[in-house]
This record gives sequence, structure tokens and C-alpha cells, in this order.
Amino acid sequence: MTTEEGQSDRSDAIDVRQRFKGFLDAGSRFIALVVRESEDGMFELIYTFDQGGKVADFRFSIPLDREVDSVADIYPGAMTAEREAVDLFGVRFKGVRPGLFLVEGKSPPEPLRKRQIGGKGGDVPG
Amino acid sequence: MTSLARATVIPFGPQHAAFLEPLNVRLVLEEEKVVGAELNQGYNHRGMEYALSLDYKKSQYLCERVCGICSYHHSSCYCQGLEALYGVEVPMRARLIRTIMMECQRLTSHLLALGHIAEAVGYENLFMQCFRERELIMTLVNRLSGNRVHYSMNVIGGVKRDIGPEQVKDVEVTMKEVRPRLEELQRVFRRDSTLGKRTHGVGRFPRPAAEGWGTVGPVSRASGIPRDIRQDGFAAYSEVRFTPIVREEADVYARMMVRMDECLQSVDIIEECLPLLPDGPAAVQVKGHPTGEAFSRVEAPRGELMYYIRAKGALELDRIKLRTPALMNVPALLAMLPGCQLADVPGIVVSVDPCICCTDR
Amino acid sequence: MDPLALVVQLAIIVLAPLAVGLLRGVDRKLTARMQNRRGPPVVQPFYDMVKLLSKSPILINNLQVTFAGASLLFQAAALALFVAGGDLLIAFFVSGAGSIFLVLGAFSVRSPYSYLGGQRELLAILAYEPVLFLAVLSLGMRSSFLVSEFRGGLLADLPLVLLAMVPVMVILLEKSPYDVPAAHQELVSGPYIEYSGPYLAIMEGARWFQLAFVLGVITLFVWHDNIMVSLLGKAAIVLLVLFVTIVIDNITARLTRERMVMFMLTVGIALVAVNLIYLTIFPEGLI
Repeated sequence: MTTEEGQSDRSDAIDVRQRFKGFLDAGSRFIALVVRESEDGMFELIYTFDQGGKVADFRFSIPLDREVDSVADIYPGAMTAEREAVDLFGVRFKGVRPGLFLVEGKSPPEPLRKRQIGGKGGDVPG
Repeated sequence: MTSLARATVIPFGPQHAAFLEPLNVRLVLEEEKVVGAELNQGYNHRGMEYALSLDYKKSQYLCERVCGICSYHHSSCYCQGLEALYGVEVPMRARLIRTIMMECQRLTSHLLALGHIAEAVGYENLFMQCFRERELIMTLVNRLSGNRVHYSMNVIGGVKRDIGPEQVKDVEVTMKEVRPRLEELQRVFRRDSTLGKRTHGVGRFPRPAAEGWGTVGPVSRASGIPRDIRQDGFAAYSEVRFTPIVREEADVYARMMVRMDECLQSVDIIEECLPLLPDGPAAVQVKGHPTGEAFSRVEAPRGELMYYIRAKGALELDRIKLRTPALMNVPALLAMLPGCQLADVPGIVVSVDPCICCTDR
Repeated sequence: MDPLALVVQLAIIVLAPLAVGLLRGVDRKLTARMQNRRGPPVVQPFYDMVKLLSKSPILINNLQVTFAGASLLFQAAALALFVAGGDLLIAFFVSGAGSIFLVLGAFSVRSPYSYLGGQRELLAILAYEPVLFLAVLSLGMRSSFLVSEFRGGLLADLPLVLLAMVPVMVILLEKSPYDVPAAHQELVSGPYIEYSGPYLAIMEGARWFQLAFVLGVITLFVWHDNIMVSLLGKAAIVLLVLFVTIVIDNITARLTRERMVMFMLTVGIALVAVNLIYLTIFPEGLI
């Protein structure tokens, strides 16, 4: 089920947008943007697509403070996915505002980040 | 008239008579015409993705609690993903039982959505009728699983609750009873003139827009996109004849009728599955902690549901990500609402069947 | 004036709205049974009323309660005029003024829902008042504009006018397809949204008086020299009209305000007009 589309550790603005566009032009349908905090303290962004009934993706890792280009103007359906990543992980997208799920100043910031919670599993009751 | 009109802002939700889930649509009106809409979500954000990653064994029950209307699809998708990580082949019997239960849940979900559409345009009687037929399915799944909403039938590797021969008979009898009632409902939805006046041509969402917004499920199928994950044959869908139901009108009526027709299709699928049930075990054992990553997809009643699971060989998961169908369908309201009348807003909002538990998680 | 008649008239003025309350209970019960539900007890409207009156009063501004009170007074005055045998047309206009006060009450607060509800209520008034007016006119022209001198069953003469009263009742009872002003799913409660507690009870009371008056107009269609037969007939026709509106409510979705106005101003008026033209050509009546 997994297709590794190659990895890159750098994210140029042109890179994301071009690859995203490449997938769309090939007739793929965007499914989701998965953000993951990798062991070496980077964000891994996985853009997943439906490619004729199979899941395909392209992925790359970025440092936590790197700004990523938004693809929402190419594909409005990606807007929610990006805003979600902004809210839950604090990934920075160019021109994407926070506040899809969380209220700035009131909600705990970046709730899905590992280091903020102090290691998973530690505070599980039972 | 327009020269006198000034823009008014009306909050649709988070508490509203037509739509009870906490979603806020900020409507800008000129007289009663909607000229702008803004979505406000997150009233129900519970951090499910974090909770689900704590203990993959408990999560097979917890993931059902993400949503009350497509609970079984969530747990099936989750188990399917972990089975892929373990690399186990799920027995045919379990796959068929999953298919049957998923279709039962699709029936309850679609009948709920149809009832809501009827209610949103002020057709209370039809709403009650939908719920009366829905109750037949609800009591059926209660007899099969012991629960009405959260079936808790799935385990990683199969199903933990088998269906006995008398229960197979029960499903058969219920489907025979349900079919004529659904056909009657279909006749009403298709032909009722006042309902038609409120749904035909309302909330147009043409195919290019549907493709751009990435909508899934009945919303995109009503815009003429023949896309349904069931074609790819997860669970036991490869064993049954299946063609997606597609309509071209791309309005509230089309979204309503796609769901209505899918109800009857679900009955077909269930009836087709029953004789296929082979003897044998309903689950296989899995050993050890899983590693690796998997994408798992099922067609939930609202459309494609995807789980991304990344396991690291421990009880907790490295990352679990849910891409629910409502997350894609709800923002599409921004494309449907501008230009419509205030009177049509409830109908349009309900026609995408927004599930806020799923959207917010 | 005969003191006994006065007592009877006063009793009717008090009892008529209570009867309407009971009718609304029957309405809810019947609707529930048609929808496969149990429904509330028949006296539920009275429970509601008592509960509303017992709640603490909250007002947005004084204008609001002024308009609510005015609405109640005008509707009660219309019913009183009607029962006292006064002029049907004056009673009609007094009742119409009461409806306008409902709209003014809706406009007196800064709530968009209330405001839109008020606008829709105006449209509803524009839709049903002409038909109701023509119905009252035809009744009066056929017999007498003074209710005290009103004689003769007019059902045989004016059946189409009675038919035109059905959509009027649909609007007044806030039923599908024309429950546009207070549309639950669209405007929550429209003009009533900013009223609560005892003030909402005042608005509901005004509605009961208004319905009592309009149903009173409907009772004029039936007449018999024997008072018992006459009363039975009047009750029967009220129940029949109510039943028809409940059935209509349950087999339709809500339509838009444009359709409501169009229907009433074409079909509603046409029904009355056809009836009157027919009567002019055949003065002996239709049947």
C-alpha cells in the first residue's frame, strides 16, 4: 500500500508546488497532508494522493521553523489540510492563517507536538 | 429592493435548530440573499489523533468513538491498516461480516442524512418516516452486535463477534422487510412536488468545483464524479457486483437521491454477501507489536475515510492521522452557499451531511 | 342590554381563546400520531402557557412589551367585537392591526433573526389578509356585516370561499408549506425569537385570540335555526378545516416566501372571485 516517492530533506517553494502540481496533472487526487514529527526533531510532511485506486505520496522533512509554500491556491481542497497542520503542529505555511480548530491564546498551542506534551504514553491513566 | 438592503450577518450555528452539531457558518446577507459565508470549526476538537496513538490495542475501540454515525467504518479502517502492518490475511468470513455491518451502518447513516434534509426544508413528517425505517436497521445491528451505535465487533485480525446461522436468517428477513419500505421512501423523495421545489437546482456544485475542492462520497458522486473506494475492493467488496451511483444534477436533490439510491444498493450488497459467508474462523491472531507505516482507506457513508498509521514496534504509535470525509466536504460549503437564499441554507448545509465529530476529531 | 346575553358574550370571549388552546393541543397530538409519535398531552399548550408565565421576565426594551401588549389587546378587541355582534369588517381591521403590532415588536429589537422574521411576517400578512378580507366581504355581502344580524348557512353559497380559508389557516397556524415567518429551521422562531417568559406568553395569547376570531369567521359558514345543531355544525366545520391543514402540513415541505405570496394572491383570490362571479350569475346559489 505504501509508495515511497523518494525523500528530500529540503523544501524549496518551487519544489512543493511543482511536485503537487505534477501529481494533479498526472490525474491524481489529493487525499491528505500528514504531518509527523520525526525522531531527529524535524517535521515530515507527507502529501498523499489517490492514483487510480492506490495511495501514492511525496514527502520531505523540514526543520521546525522552515516556512513551506502553500498549495491552497492551486487546489482549494488542500486549504483545510494546511490550516490543520498549522493549528495542530505549528507548521508554517506561507499565507496560511491559524485558527481552523483552535483559538489563539485560549487553546493549548500545537497540541499534537511530542515535546510539548512531554513524551507520549507517560500520562496515560490505567 | 437591493438598494434598500444592507448587509446583515447571521450566525448559522454553533447552536441552531436545523443543524444540531457545533458548526458555525457566518452568513452575510443582503435582504435574504447570502452574499458571503465563513466557516468556523473546532468547537468539538478533542485531540483524537493524540489519544489514538497512545495504545494501539485500545484504539481499536477508541477509534469507534470518533464518530457516532460511521463508527464501524472507523474501526474497520483502523483494523485494516494494522492488519496491513502485521501482514496478515483476514479470513473471508470476517471480511464479509465487516462488509455486511458497514452496509448496515451506511443504511442508518444515509437514512439519518435523508431525514435531516427533509427536516431542514420543513418536511417533519418525512423526517419521522426516515427515522422509522432507520429504526429497523438500528434494532437489527443491535441484535447482531449487542450495540446500536458502537458495534465493537472489530479486532485486529478479523471480527470478534461472529454471525450465527439464525442471525443470517434475521438479516435476510429484515432486508426483505426494509426493501419495500425504502422503495416507498425513494418514491416520495423522487417525486414529492414541494420537496422537489426546495431541492431542484439549489446549492449547485458543478463537477469542476467538486474536483477542485476534493469532495468525496455522495457529494462528489452527485456532481458526476464516479468515485467510490468500494470499487477498489477493500473488505469483501471485490466479491460483490458494484457500480457507484452517480448523478449529474449537482444540486441538493442529486445529493439526496444519491443517498437514497445507495440505501437500496446497500440492501443489494448485504443480500449478496449473506450466501457467500464461508465456514471457518472469523479472526486470526496477531502477535507482537507492529512496525512500519500504512495507508488504509474505506468508503464511509460520507465518502473516503483514510487512516495513516505509523507504528514503531511499541504499544504506542508514532503517528496516526485520520482524514475523514467530512473534513473535505464541509469546506465545500463555501462554494455552495454564496448566492443562495437564506431559506435554502439549512438544506444545503445538511445536504453535504457534515459530521462535526469527524471534522473536528 | 339583556344581562344574560352579556354574561354569555363575556363567557365566550374568555372561553374562545381557551378553546383555541385546546385545539392547538389536539393539533399537536394529531400531528404526532400522523408522524408515528406519541405526542404531548392535549392540554400541553396550557402547561406551556403556565410555565411561560411563571418564568422571570426579561426584556430587551420597553417598546417590545408595548407592542406585545398592543397585539394582545387588538386581537382581543377583534374577538370581542365579533362576539358582541359588531361589525365584521371593523373586527377584521382591528385584528389586522394586531398582526402589524407583532411585526413592529419584531422590528423593535436589534436581532437579525427577529428582523428577517418581521419582514417575512409582513409578507405573510400581505399574502393572507387580502384573501381573508375578501372572504369577510363575501360573507357580509351575502348576509350582513353585523354579526348580530348574520343569518343563514352560507356553506352552500360560498364553498370556494371556505376552501380559500384553508391556506389562510395554514399560514395562521404556521404550518407547512407556508410556515414561512417563524420557519424553525431557517429563522429559529422569527418574530418571536427575542421574546421569552411571560412576554412570549402574551404573544401566544394574542395568537390564540386571533385564531379564535378567524375560526369565528369560519363558523359563520354554518347556521341552523336549532341552536344545538348550529353549534355542532360550527364545531364540525372548525375541526374539519383544522384537520385539513394538519394533513397538508404533513404532506408538504416548507415553500419559499415568494411562492406563498404568489399562491395566495392568485389561487386564493381567484377562488373567492370565481365564487362571487358565480353567485352574481346564479343568485340562488351554487347548489
